[in-house]
Amino acid sequence: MLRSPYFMVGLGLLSALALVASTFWNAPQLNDWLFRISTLIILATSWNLMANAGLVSLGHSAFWGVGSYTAVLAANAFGGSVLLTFTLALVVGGVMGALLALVTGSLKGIFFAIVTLALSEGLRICALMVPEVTGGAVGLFLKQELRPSQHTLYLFGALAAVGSVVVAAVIAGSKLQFASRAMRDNEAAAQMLGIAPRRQRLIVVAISGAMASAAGAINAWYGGYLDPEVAFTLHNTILSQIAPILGGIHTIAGPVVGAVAIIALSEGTRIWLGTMEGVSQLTFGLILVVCILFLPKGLVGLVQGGPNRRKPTPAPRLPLASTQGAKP
Amino acid sequence: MLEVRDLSKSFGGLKAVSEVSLTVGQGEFVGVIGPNGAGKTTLMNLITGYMRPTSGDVLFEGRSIVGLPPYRISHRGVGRTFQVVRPFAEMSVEDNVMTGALFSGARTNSLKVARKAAELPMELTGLTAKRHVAAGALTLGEKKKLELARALATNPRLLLLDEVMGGVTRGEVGELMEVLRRIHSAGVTIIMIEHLVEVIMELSQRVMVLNFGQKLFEGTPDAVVEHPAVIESYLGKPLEADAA
Ligand SMILES: Nc1ncnc2c1ncn2[C@@H]1O[C@H](COP(=O)(O)OP(=O)(O)O)[C@@H](O)[C@H]1O
Ligand SMILES: [Mg+2]
Repeated sequence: MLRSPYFMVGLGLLSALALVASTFWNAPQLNDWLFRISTLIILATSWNLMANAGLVSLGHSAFWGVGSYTAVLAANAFGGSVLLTFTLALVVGGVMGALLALVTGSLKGIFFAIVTLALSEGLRICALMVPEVTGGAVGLFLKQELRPSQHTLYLFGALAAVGSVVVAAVIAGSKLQFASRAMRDNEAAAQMLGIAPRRQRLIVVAISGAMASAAGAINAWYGGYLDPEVAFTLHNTILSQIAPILGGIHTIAGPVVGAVAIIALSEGTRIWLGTMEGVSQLTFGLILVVCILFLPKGLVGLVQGGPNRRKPTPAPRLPLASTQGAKP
Repeated sequence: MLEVRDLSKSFGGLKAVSEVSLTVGQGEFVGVIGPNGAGKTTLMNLITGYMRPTSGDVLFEGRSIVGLPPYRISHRGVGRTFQVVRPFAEMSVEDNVMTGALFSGARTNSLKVARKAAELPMELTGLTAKRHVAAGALTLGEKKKLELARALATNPRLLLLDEVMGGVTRGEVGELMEVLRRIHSAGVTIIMIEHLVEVIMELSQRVMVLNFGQKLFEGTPDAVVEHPAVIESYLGKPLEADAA
């Protein structure tokens, strides 16, 4: 039953509904956790999209940070609403992703990863160097009077998280998924089947960049404060990849499950072992390492068990006698 | 259909392909033989855009395809298999074949259409029963067949085969030959590199012999086996013995 696609879709819809519904319930601590889960779901889903095409990003905090600044700057400058700045962050992140894809050309593996890492570190330093825009190390506050209620943001975060998973699901059932996987496995062979790798990469990185940037934008509204260290923190880069790897890389549910697990784990260890600051973080780290070492397919693989395969369907017999259809 | 003009490729001092010319007409079946390192694979890489020639030109259906990336050459109607197999290991056999239909053959956005277009290539290569198996789990022979099936799914007018029989069992060689005959009679032009000389002799209408990057001889299969230079440099012994 666990492997039935209907069950999985049903479970997904129910979780989505529960997440959205929870934001109408006044339970600040729970709301906060679910908000952080929501933004992490978006970030992790975004990272997973690139990973799916064989592109390992070590710079997701770059998109997150740019989205954060886009939201705060646009809000402060012309009083943009959450929705407007969110949309703006989507566009800016998408353009940034497209540029990254253009600049990296056909770089793969560690070379691509290093460029993304350099991008996020570079942006952090740039942000420090233009204090008249970003407030430099002192930071920048989002105008208090513009901020909507926290509950509006909880709802917005939940809807955006659901949206990102829907986008990932749509991609998973599309041509782009075939191009991504083919490029991940063997880019040279993919070309002989008609796949234009740079074009496909541009699409993937732009979508992924838009998502991560949007997540940063929502979070900036929630936090209300930004400085370069907060916006471009390496922490987000790390979480963006641990979540999908822990949950199940190259799957739709993986980033979601991973995001929930990470927030639960980090909050859990903090609450139980909080008095001993170091111990709680060490425990958190240890559990992560053990999970990643012993669950190559992530938590999702644990539930599904066995190789994730479609049920064999009886092959339709083709009239081999006639070869008209062979290759007209 | 395909015109190769004075094509050369050097790797440093080594001339892997040297001034090779070859004209292949619509509907022909041309075999290419030559010892290891003769430059056969390099010739194929030059035609399909994986390498840029040092000099010379390649025309497909009257237009030069030199400088085009492989995917454009695929869109033009050239299909190819790789000697060193390159399956998408994590994808199922069916998904591998569908990819060719999605991006080159049917060029469709519909997975349904592509899945349907993948049926015949899988059936022809005998992979239908393995459609849900991950390509990485196939035997070498099956991976060679998958190479062929994927190339077929791109719906090529010209098909380039690089040692597609290598690693295939004896019994399957006969089956694959039958498949190639069928593809050829459906109107696909084929250029086939093959180590198994008897296969080339039986299928080809014309054979080109490469040696040290140069065209040593070109002619009918019968003429090739009788040509003294070919026997000396490549076959080494009369073909009637064991040419494999
Ligand atoms: N990418 C490359 N770089 C350098 N030398 C190469 C490369 N590809 C092929 N060669 C050399 O070119 C020659 C022809 O190789 P190849 O075309 O693979 O021969 P064949 O397919 O006939 O066995 C060989 O000497 C090989 O070592
Ligand atoms: Mg070769």
